Amino acid sequence: MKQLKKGLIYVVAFGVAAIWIFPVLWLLLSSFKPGDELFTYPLTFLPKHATMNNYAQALEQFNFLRYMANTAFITLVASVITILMSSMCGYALAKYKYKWLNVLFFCLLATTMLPTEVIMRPSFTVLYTLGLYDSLWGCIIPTVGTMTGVFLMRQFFITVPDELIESARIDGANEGTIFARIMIPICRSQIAILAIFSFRWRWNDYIWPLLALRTPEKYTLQLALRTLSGAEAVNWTVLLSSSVLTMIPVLIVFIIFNKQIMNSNMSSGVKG
Amino acid sequence: MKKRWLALGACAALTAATVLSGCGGGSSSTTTTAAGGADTTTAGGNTSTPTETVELELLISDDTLEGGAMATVVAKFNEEFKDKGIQVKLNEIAYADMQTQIQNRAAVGELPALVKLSNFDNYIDYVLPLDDSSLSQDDFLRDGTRNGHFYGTSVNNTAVGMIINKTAFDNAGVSYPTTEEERWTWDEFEAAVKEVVEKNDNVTTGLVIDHSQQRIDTVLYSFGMGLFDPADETKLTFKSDATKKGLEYMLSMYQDGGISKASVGVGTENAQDVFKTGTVAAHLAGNWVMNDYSANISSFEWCPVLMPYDTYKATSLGGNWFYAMDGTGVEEESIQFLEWFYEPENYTLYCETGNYLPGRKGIEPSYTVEGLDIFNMEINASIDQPEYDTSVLNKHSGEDWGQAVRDAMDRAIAGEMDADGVMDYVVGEMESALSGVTVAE
Repeated sequence: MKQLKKGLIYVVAFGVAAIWIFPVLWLLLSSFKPGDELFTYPLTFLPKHATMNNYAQALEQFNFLRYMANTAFITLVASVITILMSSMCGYALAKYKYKWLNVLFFCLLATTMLPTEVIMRPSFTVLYTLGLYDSLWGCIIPTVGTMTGVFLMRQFFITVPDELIESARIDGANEGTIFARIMIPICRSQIAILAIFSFRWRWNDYIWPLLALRTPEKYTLQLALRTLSGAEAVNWTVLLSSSVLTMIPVLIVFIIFNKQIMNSNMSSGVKG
Repeated sequence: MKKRWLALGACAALTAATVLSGCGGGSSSTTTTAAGGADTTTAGGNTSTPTETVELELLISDDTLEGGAMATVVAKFNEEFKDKGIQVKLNEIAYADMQTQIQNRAAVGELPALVKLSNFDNYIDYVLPLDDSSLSQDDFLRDGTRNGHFYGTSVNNTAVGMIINKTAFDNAGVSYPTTEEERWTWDEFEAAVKEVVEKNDNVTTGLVIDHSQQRIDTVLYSFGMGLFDPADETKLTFKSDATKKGLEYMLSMYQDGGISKASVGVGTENAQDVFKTGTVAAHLAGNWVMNDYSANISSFEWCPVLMPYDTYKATSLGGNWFYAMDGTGVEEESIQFLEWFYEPENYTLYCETGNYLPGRKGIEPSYTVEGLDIFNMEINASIDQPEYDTSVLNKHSGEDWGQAVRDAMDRAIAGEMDADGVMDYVVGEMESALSGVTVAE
């Protein structure tokens, strides 16, 4: 009975995984199909005449290295700042007891109810006034303060026993040291989760680069990819191969942080 | 251990990318350096130096997708003008982002020098009138005049037309029209595609029409529909017997036993992609699909043919406008470029490279794709009503009545309304959106 249950769970798990993986596999395999094979009927899963031409065309058509570099700069810098800001803010909100801190927290939480689109115009005005228009920093600054990150970190820091901080204080550690040398190491899995989220958000970000940039040399991969969808036609072959290329960095980041995410046993440095 | 190396490698790559990008990422404007002079930046991406080298930014979409015609002509210009103080730089962005980009840049006073786009009415306050240039409205096929001023040059025209699966027609032994004398009526066309479907096992659909108001309108024009009264542009004439006949004919295509399929009619399936599968006899599209079909169809032959008609022969003209922006500080140079661009030699090169139908009169390009002349025949044979309606709608720029015909057709194909319902809906939308118009008695 136990074996049957286990087998059923496996079947369901594989089924769900297949639903998620199938479109990605389709994209990957289609990226090797020549243009005239993409729409032949009946459609085939595997390419009949696999070609690397689509990739060669993508690399030739786009200044891939430049767009990749711009996107990496925005993603990396924004993710580091997001993680720093979120963990510091989350820690302060969880561990310091000031009169209005909870009120401030709920005020911050309330901002998640406001769709980004609503504040886009005023944010753009601020960005322009600060001289960040047509600068990569213009794609970074408006995005780094994320309440989702703050909330994630705060909820974790609440579970960390206060005794840990108090004993550190007794040992003479200052607040900075406690945060940097005790708190940060024990919230590595949360940082990994936030890093993956932030990396994915910024890597795939489309709307802010669209609003903040106007010079081709500063465009990101997503802006460049979008040019393949025209008013009346779509260059499917190059779009598919370019999409696969843009997926690779996100995949690498996931593989790196995979272990941290799966390791949910880590909670604190104090024995229960 | 492996993962650690992977992590180190990824970090190194990202750091390198960051450094590479960071070097050029901080400045907020593009500059061009000329020998012996410090940079001086003017509005937008348009730059000049004390030695008078001006860089004009040309904002454009779809150029690479359509064969890079503008890039070719700009390269020629830059070569010819490298010692004359003007250079043009293409800024290619997605078609769907053009409006956002122009609006944002207008808001901060950093407009590009030149724009190629399918409309200019939305930005008319920022467009430079070309009245003082050597270019004249009389030289162009589409009307780029607004409020008595000449603003937009029709850089390339598009025409709605019919593309057929030539292999399927030949297999079935069914002829198709390439001369005026052979042109089908809609009934003849229907009989022809039904025969093609019957005699080809792999062809299952007679006709697919793009999910587009312009394409629907084109069919309706051939039945005698008109949006506005030719004698009085304030009178709406959409609700008429001719329109009803056209709508009922179109709706019959999507019913059981009809020649088309509802999933394409309501836009769930893309007509262009479905045609490429080879399972369709004909596609009501336009000349813009020619490049795509040339590159991506090899399993069957295809060709453009003349459109069927009922009461009238009709096509709908569309295309792009090419215009200069006002307040950029480089208006004179922008006009100079436009004048050079429309010189017959340069403009012919543009049309031939992109397989574009010329928007300027008296240009006769030699195309690499066969059959494009069919679309010029359509333009010459078409009634004036589509162009008249377009010119009236241009006067109502900023008063958006959306895609009322297409939206109503979607609902009619789904069985939610009939032809009368479609007409009532469209007229209602037009009356509420367009100022000063009333339904003709």
